[in-house]
Amino acid sequence: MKRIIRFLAKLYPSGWRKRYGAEFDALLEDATPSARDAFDVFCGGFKMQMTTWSVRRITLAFSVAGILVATAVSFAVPVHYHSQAVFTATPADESTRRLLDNLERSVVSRESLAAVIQKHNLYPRDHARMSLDDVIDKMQRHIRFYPMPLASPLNRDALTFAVQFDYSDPQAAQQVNEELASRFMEGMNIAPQLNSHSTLRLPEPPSLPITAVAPNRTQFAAVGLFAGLLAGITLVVLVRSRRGTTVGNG
Amino acid sequence: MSDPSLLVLSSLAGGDKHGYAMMEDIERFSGARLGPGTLYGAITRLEERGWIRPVESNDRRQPYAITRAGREYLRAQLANLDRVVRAGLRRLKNA
Repeated sequence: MKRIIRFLAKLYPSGWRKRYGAEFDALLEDATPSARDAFDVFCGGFKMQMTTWSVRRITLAFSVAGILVATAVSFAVPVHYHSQAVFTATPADESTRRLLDNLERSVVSRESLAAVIQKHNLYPRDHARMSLDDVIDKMQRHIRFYPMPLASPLNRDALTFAVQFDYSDPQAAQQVNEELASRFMEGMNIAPQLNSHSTLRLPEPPSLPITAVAPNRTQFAAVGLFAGLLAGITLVVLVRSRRGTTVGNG
Repeated sequence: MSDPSLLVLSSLAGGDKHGYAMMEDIERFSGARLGPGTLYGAITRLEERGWIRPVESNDRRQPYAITRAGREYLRAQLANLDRVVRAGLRRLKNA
């Protein structure tokens, strides 16, 4: 323990070591230091550094530490890929819109998704600790339907929309999206009595994602930078105000 | 009383001491055990403020003495604490 504390004592600023180093080492030799003392020496050295470092140096050190921690955390976050398919439906009228709404409800219904989950063996880890209902809820959160912008060239006389599915495996993301797309197309043909005039096409079949969309490591690093900067400034203000106004502890 | 600086000044008010002797003395009279980092943090600040000073010694263990300014500061702080203690005890008695 003495060896560890002697090593930790090196964390003190060199100016401080020059003035107090020999007597501090003598104290460590006399005492029977515990793990608590080691932590105490570590905290003492840290605080002493904070009072001698310039504000710029502290904030820089904390910002770099923030970026490193956030980047490390980003590696613990599950990777996500998304596969996207684009559909066009004609004519662009109210009846087609209603039909698409019905199709969407049917494709993401619990029965439909339960079948997809089982067929593709999706979310195997979640299956072990969640009910099927919860896994279906999770899958529903990973499926997105959204209309394409009106400026899209595909969107002149048709209702254009995209279906996106997010998953941790790029191949599975594409296969499941293909399944969802085929259910859309089948749904259009199954009930001809409900659909006398609308047609659905798939100009952009489900894509095979190449790069992950999450975690966004740049975003993580930016958050880490900001948090580190904030922590550094807060610490400078706290340590210096304590030192300036009171005798303080430690 | 748990402010390390007041504990160090109180210890030195009883005579010059080096770091380890202060740790032992403080533990004896207050029950608080100051770690080496906390003790030397307090010593550094007190010396900067001129409330304690190193005493000449040939030993590696550097003894310290309380200065007149240190005594005055300690007296003022203890008088404040004394007022707080008396008020607290009086209120507890009347509660």
